[in-house]
Amino acid sequence: MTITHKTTARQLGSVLFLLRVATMTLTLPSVIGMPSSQGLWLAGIVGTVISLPLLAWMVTLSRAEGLDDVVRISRRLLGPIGGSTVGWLFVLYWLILAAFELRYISEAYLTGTMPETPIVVFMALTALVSAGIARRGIRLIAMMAELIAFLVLISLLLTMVLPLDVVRLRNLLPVFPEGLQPLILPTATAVPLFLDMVVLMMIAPSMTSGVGLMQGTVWSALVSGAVLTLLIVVVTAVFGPISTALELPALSLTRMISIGGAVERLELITVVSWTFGIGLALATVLWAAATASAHLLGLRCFEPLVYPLGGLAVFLGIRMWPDVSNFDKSTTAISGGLVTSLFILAVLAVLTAARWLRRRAGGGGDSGRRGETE
Amino acid sequence: MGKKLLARLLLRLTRAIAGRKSAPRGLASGSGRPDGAGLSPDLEANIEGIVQAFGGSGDLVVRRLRAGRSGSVSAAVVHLEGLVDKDLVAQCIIRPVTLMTENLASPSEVLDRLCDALLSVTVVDQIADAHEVALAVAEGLCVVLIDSARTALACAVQGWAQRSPEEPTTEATVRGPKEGFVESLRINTSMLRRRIADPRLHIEERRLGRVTRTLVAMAYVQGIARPSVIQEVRSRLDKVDVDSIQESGQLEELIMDAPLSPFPTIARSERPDRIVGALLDGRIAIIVDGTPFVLIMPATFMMYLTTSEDYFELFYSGTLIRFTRLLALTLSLLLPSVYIAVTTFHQEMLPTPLILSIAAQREGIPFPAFFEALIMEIMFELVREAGIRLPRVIGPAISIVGVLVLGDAAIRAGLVSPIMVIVVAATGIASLGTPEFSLAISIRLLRFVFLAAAASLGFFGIAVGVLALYAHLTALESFGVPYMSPIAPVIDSELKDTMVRAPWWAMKQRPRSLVWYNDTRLGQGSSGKDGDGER
Repeated sequence: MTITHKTTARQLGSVLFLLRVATMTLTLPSVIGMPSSQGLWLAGIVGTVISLPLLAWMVTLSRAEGLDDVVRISRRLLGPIGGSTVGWLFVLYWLILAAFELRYISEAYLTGTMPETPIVVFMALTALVSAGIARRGIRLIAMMAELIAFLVLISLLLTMVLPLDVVRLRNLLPVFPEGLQPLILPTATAVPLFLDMVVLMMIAPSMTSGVGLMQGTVWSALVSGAVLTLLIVVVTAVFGPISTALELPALSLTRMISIGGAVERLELITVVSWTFGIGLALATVLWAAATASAHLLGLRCFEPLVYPLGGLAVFLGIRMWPDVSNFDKSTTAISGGLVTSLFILAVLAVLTAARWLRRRAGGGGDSGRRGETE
Repeated sequence: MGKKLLARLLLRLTRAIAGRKSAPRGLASGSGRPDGAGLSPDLEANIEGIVQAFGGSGDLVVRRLRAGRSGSVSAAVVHLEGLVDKDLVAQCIIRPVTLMTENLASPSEVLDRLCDALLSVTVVDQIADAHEVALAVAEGLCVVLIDSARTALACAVQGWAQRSPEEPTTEATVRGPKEGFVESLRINTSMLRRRIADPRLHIEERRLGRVTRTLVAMAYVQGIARPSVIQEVRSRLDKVDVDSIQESGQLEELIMDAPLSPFPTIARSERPDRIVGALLDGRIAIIVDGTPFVLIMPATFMMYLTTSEDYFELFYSGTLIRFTRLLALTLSLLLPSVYIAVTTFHQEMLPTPLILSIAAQREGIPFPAFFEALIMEIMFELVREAGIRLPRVIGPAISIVGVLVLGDAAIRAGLVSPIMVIVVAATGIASLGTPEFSLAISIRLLRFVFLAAAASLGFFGIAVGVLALYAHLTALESFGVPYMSPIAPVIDSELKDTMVRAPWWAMKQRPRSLVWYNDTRLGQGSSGKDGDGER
């Protein structure tokens, strides 16, 4: 039978693409934080290139441990206390990520279309639907992701193609007005955006093969990177150097669209496609948090945890960022900042070191290889 | 004292046995199982048993006969009037029995002689159980009872009034066969047999319904249909325990995967060509006696957007029609809610002259756009329902007059705006573009949900609703096959027959998610593309 209950490489790629690109296109390039944006496209490319080996590191670790999930790997390599600590940190990280995504899509609706509606309405409804999807497991998320990723990609391409009449290529010049040095920070902040894909280490057990895990991850990183870079180029070409000051640059881009004098502004179409993308990305994160929590609590099933975690994400989304300005400042530190990179890189380093030490000591470092061979 | 007690006990025992024997040999209440009592050697007792089982029904015909040399053998022919072909009974059963002149020694010899040589009907069964004899009569068989014989002969001479095959009204096509299923299961199976002249077409029959004992046939092509799915269908049918099955819809609800979902996970059709196509794709059909609607399983969402005609027309036309249907489906689901969202929350999406025109039309309308749409939608549903129920002669006329008069009057009365009438009418037309009625009803139902979502949260409500709907559809399964396949999950090889209908020569293989081992549809050299241009 062609239909497998496992996640295929393309499905994984779609899930990771949505996880990253939906939020990224909402916020970039303003989130990177740079006075002028002419050279930002280079940061996008370099950030993608740097993130590839880091993602490969995650995949290699998962494959070496028999495609087990990161919580089980941590507990196996670091012992119950160390492993559980890492596990709970991941749960917290995914919860904050969920809260961030919820807040961002809700802010987009609030700012773009319905300023009088309380933000909690957007957040609660999105969380409810996403938790409903997450409760059905990664198989449903993966199956849905294929079509939704395609739609989001098409929508993004339209967003970039349709305002071509207002594109001014001279806005891209001079390419590096202040040299290459100011690009270091944007590049450094672009990398952690890709590290959010660490959720792949939770999806690994459901993969058809380790090769598929690698293919899906690399595919999603490359496509996300290409979209990110293209978007930066188009936004800069349309709005000029001030594009980094725009709150929702991609949304502003869609406002420039006019088709045949009949449809003036298409930002809603974009926001709707973002709703699909972020809804599914949120479902992925909630599923990861619930599955990790279930492992840590010794529960047989994760389903009962999904809705409470969704509620918690809504609560965090409101309490962590009391107002928009506060949110804008914090997002760089939370999602695109060093906190994310340091946490994920530290975990990867510790796990790799523990694995190396265990192998050296002749321990059960290869215990997980069985799953990969199967 | 002891003798008296023993005598009393014996009397009670005898009464108990006699009481059990004399109980009507009808359907055992509740279970529907035979009581297991054999036929009596006494002909009159057997006739009495059958008459009692039917409660003295007026349509029960008992014809007593005398056969053998000098009429030494007593016999009876029992059947229900209206369920048998009278000519067949007279010519093939009564006549041979009465003309039997041999002097046969035992009742079993009489039965064998009748069975083997004299009764000129195609199917003759020997039945020894009294309950089964009654059931055979109820099923329309003609039963021959012989005095002193503990076995009866049940002859298949069924014949009753039935309509001839005609074009299905619900699945009319421009191109393709004009023949549809009828209410007779046997005629329906013969239509399939005629189209698939291969012994691999297996038809398994069973009776379902404790009281109605409706004949249900499960058809599949051995080697193409997946054994696991066949077994799953069998097992679900085995679990059906219900008083009556009068229509395939009842059975559908009893065996479907997600009974609470508004979406049908078992398709149905009145067209033999569509069922044949499904069988050759590896699906299973269930034919229920008494209804022309045949069930198809496993079903996928895309099946509801396709018709037989797509495959009979050239692939360009087939593809265009499918896109039109998808557009119709989308419009029928979302058009009113998009209108509500745009006019209530997102006016900036429309050019200023258009939004001003809409605002001018809505001026003086006392209701918000949501209630305006709701009123019109409800009126439209009422007119549509009335149009179906009214006699055919006046139905369409009343519907047209109703729509025109009501719509015009509503505009003049200032209850609704002209643009709303256009939106609702367009939605109504679009909803008729969905080929499958059961899906169209689900969409009609969901349209109201989306109306409410758009009225309260604009495009956000619609987007969240669509996401939830897509999640629901993707989570559905039909007999182990994902409902949204081959879109979710994407199955590349099957995408040739979804939105796009690829040319026949490109669809070399059957849907791999359905078939067992015989997955090749097209043989080598069947492609017409090579050389056509050269000729």
